[in-house]
Amino acid sequence: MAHLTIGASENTFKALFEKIRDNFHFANSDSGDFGPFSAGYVLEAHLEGGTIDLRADNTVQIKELDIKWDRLDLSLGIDIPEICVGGFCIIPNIFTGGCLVRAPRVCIFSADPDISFTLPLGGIITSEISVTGSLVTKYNIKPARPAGMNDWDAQDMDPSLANHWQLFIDPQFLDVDLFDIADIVGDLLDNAINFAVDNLLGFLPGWARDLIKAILGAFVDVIRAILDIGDDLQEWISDLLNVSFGITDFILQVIADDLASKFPLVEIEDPFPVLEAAANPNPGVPSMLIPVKIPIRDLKVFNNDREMILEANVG
Amino acid sequence: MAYTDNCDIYASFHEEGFNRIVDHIRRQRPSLFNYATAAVAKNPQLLCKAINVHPIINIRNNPHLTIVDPLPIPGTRFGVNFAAQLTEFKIDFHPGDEFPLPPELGPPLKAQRLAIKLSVCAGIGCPPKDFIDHDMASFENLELSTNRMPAMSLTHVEEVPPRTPIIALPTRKLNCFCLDAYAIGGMRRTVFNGKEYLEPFIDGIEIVDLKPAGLENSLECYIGLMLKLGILPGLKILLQSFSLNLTEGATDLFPTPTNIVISAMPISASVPNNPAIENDQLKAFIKAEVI
Repeated sequence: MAHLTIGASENTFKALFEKIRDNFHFANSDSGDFGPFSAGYVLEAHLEGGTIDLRADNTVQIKELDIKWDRLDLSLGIDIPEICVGGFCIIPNIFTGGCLVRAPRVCIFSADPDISFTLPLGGIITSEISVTGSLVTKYNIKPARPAGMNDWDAQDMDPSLANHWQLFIDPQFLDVDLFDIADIVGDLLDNAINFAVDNLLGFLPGWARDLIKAILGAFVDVIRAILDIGDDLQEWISDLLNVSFGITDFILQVIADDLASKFPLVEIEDPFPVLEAAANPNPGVPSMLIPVKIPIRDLKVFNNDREMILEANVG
Repeated sequence: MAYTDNCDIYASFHEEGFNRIVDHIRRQRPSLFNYATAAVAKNPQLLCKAINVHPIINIRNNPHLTIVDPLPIPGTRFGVNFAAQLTEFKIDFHPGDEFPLPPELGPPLKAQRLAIKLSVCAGIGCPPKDFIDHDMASFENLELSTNRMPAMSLTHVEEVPPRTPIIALPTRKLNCFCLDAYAIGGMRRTVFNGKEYLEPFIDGIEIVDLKPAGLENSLECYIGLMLKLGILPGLKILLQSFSLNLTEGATDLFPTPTNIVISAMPISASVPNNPAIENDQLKAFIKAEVI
């Protein structure tokens, strides 16, 4: 039996997932000049939908989480090299060698960029993420730590060379639909229905319009479901085979695998300090006592279909 | 059965883990467990029990014990060397299987109870009889001349008179004794002024083999009263919910904080004890609300 056991129910994870999803808001903008081209973007997004499921095979599945792009302005600029005509001398000054009369000089493509356009995709595009993975713990020993160095000396080094337990997300398959056609079409239909009902049937009382919207909304949901069948099928096969399909998914999988081994969610120092360094109660040196550290052994995180469990032992 | 069938978050700690933590503290911070006069500290072979320390203590030159003043002899400037050591501290959650309880505490350990075992070794260094009879006068003169009070400045005004150092009488050994003490108790939820608290309590204390019986009973009574009336009420914990902001470090992505509010599960048929002391563990059943 483990010395420390902590369990969190699936319902707690579901409530946490929904609140984190609802509170998430992402905004960013950037631009770059690449010689003849310039590009920029303004992004703003929030999350909608999706489910989280703790599964009996020690994996957690987040399914069909929508990224709603509230603002997605993509700008592209082209800088064409300046072309000037005219400016040549019509009547030269034979006495001074200068020019008395010049032809007018006209330049085109002087601006930078000369041609620019912005593609406003906000409110139209929805992306969708599905991911299945598990939490894994790894024990990290700093490569720079000399063999035989004690834990107190390692902690005192700058930067610290203390060992750590690390908690990673290990995504086993990842499916990203940059353009979630089903949701994009569904949202367009929703907007069209809302517009039509409000404008064409504006004479009806509010409850009647809501009723019509609800009936038509069910119809839109069916269309969403039908359009999503292909994606669902691909996700199902991916889940079954633990292989991500599609070039985008493949690239993201490679990135995710990289992140899963290099960017831990949590790091816990081992041995873990439970009492800080304290003043020496006796006169003389040293002025401070060492911190008290407790070795953590066999740290593991796993789940079944009902709960997530963390276990650890004291060494 | 899942750990969280009757709660949102479950946490348990096994007695073996607790005892290992105490052992690590004892070896890495021995000065919390061992007290002796400077003379004993200089001659650690005088101690009643050798101190087992982690190697880092010697590498970092940390003290093995806390130096205290000699035990004063009233009416004199002298005192005797002594040492007091807490040599063992163990906890045993129900069922009792870490150490046997003395019969006075009515073993076996009852359900939802824990037992604590303390071993204390102490000793006073009595000067040799010859020294007191023949060498005391010369020792007194020597010590008084070497421990003369520093001259005080005329302008120096001290409200509290300077403390006169106690001169320790020399000794060759401590008269050591060791006592085992046991306590049994638990944790209960009580209501004070309309607020719910978690309060530790003591059922009984037993100091083993202390004679005469009257001394043992008096000491047990005194320690029990001190714990029940003085120490344990101060250790009661207000059972209130507290909030944890899970997205505190990412305010750019989460402008609205995501908080998880944690509180103890109320007592019910499905959670009859919270915390529960059972299966050699201390268990807590927690309610979590995400807001």
